[in-house]
Order: sequence, then C-alpha cells, then structure tokens
Amino acid sequence: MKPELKNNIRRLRFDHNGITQQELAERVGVTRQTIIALEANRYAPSLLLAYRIARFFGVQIEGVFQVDESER
Amino acid sequence: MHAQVRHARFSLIVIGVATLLSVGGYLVALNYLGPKRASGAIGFLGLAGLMGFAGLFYRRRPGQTGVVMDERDSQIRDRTRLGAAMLVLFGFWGVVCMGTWFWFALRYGADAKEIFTIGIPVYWLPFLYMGSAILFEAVWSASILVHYGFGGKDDEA
Repeated sequence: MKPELKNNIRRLRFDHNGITQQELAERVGVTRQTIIALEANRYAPSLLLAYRIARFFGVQIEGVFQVDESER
Repeated sequence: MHAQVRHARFSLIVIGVATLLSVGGYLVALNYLGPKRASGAIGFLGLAGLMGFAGLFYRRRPGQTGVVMDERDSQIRDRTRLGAAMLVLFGFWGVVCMGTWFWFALRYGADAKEIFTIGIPVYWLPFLYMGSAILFEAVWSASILVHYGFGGKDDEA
C-alpha cells in the first residue's frame, strides 16, 4: 500500500494562537482549500510548500509532516 | 467556491445550452426545412465561444486577499487536462476512425475493398474538430468538478 503523508497542521494552528486556515493560507501563499485538503491528508504538498509551512510554525519539516510507515 | 470550480460549472452550462439548442433546433427544423437547411441550427454551437469569458473567474475581486490559484490547483488543472486530452484522443478519435473502419470490415468483410473508400461531406470536418474540442472541454470541466468534490468537499473545514 502507498505510504501516506500525515501532518500536524491543525494542532500547530491551535498552538499558534488558533490561527485560522485563511490566515495560514495567506501567509504561506496558497488557497484556504489547499490548507483544508492538507489537514484532511488529501494532498501531499511540494517540498517548497512544506518548507514554507514548517518555517511559518518555526519547526523542522519533520515536525509538521510525517510518513505513516504502518501503511507500507 | 474556487475559481476553477466556477469555471468548470460555467463551461458545462455553456456547452449544455449550446448542444441543446443546436441538436434541438436541428430536430425541430428538420420537419419544416429539410435536413440541409435545418443543419443551420448547428451554428448554435458557436455559443460555446462564450467559454472564452471564463478568464474573468480568475480576476482578483476588490477586497480579496490571498492567491487565486496555487500549486494544488495547477496540479489538478494539469492532471485533468491530460486525462481529458487522452480520452478525446483515444476515445473520440478512436471511435470515429477505428470504429468506422472496424464496422465496415465486420459488415462487408475485409475483402470488400471498393466499399472501404468512403466519402464524407467536407463540412463535416470542422464539425468533427469542434465536436472533439467541445467534448474535451466538457470532460475536462467534469473532471475538475470531480477533483474538487463538486465544489463542496474543499470548503469543509
């Protein structure tokens, strides 16, 4: 089975003063729909977008995105 | 709602109306004018040119912040466009070219070479081209709607 990319974006948003999806989207240069798709694990971002999101939250990329090994 | 979803819906409505008017107009006029004059109703397909206004959906509206298209939208656009192009290439043209040839071979046998030379009115050629272009737009638009969950899935937070 294809490994799945999981993320903590929703939790990180709440840890950052509950920033909204719209605010996060504007800060990292995507649409709100893309943030929604990311949080629902329906979309695997480009490396550049992953980097922007991690930098926005002030963590490493691994702190935001993890590959779910159990899906292998 | 995302600009691409509005674009896709607009395209499908325009294609639907243009197809309905041209086919419906032809069928209605057929009884009164005969097939040659009734074929003028196919000119309603020109309404499909209204799809050219779809670019307006990507305008940034006053007060709108953020991006209109991002990497995911571009990925969806490219993937669905490729899929629609493949379907038209192998589906539509496969049916038109291979299907016609195969049907003749089945009906008349592979040795009936004289029947294998067919003639079609030359004005069919632009209609075939327009038909495949409209089919491409319709399949592309429908694929975009499927990818975005018909506009609803992506708006759920």
